[in-house]
Amino acid sequence: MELANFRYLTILDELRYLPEVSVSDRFLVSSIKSSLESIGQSFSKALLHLMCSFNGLSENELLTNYDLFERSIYRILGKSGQSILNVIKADMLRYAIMNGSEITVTDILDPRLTVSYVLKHIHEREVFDFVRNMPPHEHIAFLYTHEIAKSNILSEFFHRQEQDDHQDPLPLGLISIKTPKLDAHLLNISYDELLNKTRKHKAKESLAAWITHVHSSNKSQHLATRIAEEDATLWLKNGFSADEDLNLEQMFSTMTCDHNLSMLCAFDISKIAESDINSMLKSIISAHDYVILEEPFVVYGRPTRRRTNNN
Amino acid sequence: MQKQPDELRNVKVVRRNLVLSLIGSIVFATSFIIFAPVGQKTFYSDIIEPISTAIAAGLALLVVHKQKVDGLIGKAYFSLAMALVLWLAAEIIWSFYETGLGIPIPTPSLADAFWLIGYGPFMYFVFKLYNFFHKSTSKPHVIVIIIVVVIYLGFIINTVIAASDFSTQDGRVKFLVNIAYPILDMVLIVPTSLIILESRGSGGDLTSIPWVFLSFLIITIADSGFAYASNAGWAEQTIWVWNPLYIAGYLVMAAGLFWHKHFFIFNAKKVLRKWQELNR
Repeated sequence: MELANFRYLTILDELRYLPEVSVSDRFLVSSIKSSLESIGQSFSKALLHLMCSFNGLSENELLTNYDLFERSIYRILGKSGQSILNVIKADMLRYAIMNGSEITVTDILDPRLTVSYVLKHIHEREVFDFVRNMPPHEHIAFLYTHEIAKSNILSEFFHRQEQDDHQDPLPLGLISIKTPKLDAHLLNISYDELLNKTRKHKAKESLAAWITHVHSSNKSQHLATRIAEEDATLWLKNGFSADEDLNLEQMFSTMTCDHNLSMLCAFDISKIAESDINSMLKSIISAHDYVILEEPFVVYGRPTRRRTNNN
Repeated sequence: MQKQPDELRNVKVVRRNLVLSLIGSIVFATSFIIFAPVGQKTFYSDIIEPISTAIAAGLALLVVHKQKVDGLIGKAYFSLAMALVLWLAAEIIWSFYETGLGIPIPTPSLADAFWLIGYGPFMYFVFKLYNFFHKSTSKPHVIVIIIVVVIYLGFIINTVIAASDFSTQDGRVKFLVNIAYPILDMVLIVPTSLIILESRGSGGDLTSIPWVFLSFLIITIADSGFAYASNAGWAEQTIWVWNPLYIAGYLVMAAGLFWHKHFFIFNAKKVLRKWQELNR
């Protein structure tokens, strides 16, 4: 998994996508700094300088990567560094609890509970909040290999929004692998239904018509229609070329620009052939403004995003 | 990521150079005493001991000046500097009496007062660091250290008692003062050895605690030896044998302070200069 993550990160770096700076990362940096400063300003500066020199990283790069920070402090202070890490752990646990993490009392009392585990929970909650509160006109890719991660992200994406101007529920649409038994407000079309069309452009037209149909019931001025794809790699597996798939993504981008809707395209990247993965990932990523990775959950964004009709 | 090996190599180079310099300094300083004629050994001891204490105290004051006294580390190193300054005063008084005035030093003396008061800030230093740096006190470690300390102190106290003259008031006071040193040394040894034992195998190559521990260990041996020799009434011609150990103890402490200064004092100018060199 680490190798796969390294591959995604390299591609994201090449395409100049940057991780969205999370509030928890800023909190982590300030917690590390204050715990170090409590043992002395000069000492903490020297300690940070040593750690950065050893790793060849900037202060911000080091302090937002907790695992690396922990390894560095152990390398310099040995187990003695544990006292500093305990202060950070207490801070991060407090932050996690205050921000709706599902960490239980049993977890907190378990001495084996690590800061990395707490941070994983915090980042997961932040990404879920990002997906749940996604603004209109966004077109986002979610790269996954685990079904549970996909279910969680889709569940947050379809979480019912608070509506202030009318009673009708907001339209939600899912392009699904199978026809699921869902609640009445989630409109559904399966890949099979779309791919049964003999010609690819017919499938594309049907998809565009279905999206327009889903969106037509949205009367809200503020809240967007939400449409998600369960596994967008199925287009490629069913005869779409990379160019045709990119064309489809561009259609989604145009639709999210022109209409008050947001799209989440989930990609089961474990299904992409090893030989195609680099080129496919580049193509997939570059068609989206944001990319969400799992394990750990992180949101990457393109620094210059598309201009929407609203802008 | 290219920088990593260089930085690690730098730590190893500094450690190697420091160890070599320390060994060289100890050999150089103690050889004056060892190879001096019997009649001049005390004279050389009285010159070199205050110098080696002054080196340690000077480095400690430099650390305090650069590091300031804020935070746990700032306060701990300030107390270490105070302790070394008190011991420097004790060494100077001792040398002044012995060599300057040529008066046999009584026990207890004014120098003893400074030495014994100096244990206070030393204790503050070690216990402050122990409280902060120990992860959790492991019972087996505590038991092992207590057993070692009890055996060592039992042996030393018994040996010194056997060599002491309790028939006079002066003899009894001399015993109490002399035996106080190894006992107080042990109070310093316990927390430092616990820090080291509990950090075993976890890296931490850059802390100065091992140097401080080694210094206390050498001074403990010297104090124990001196307590026995003084109470047994060794002649001036033979009692000098403990002096090289004191010198070694102070120089090891100085090396620990240099280590701390080198790695844990942030020098903004040095960092900027290095950055400018790398980006030239």
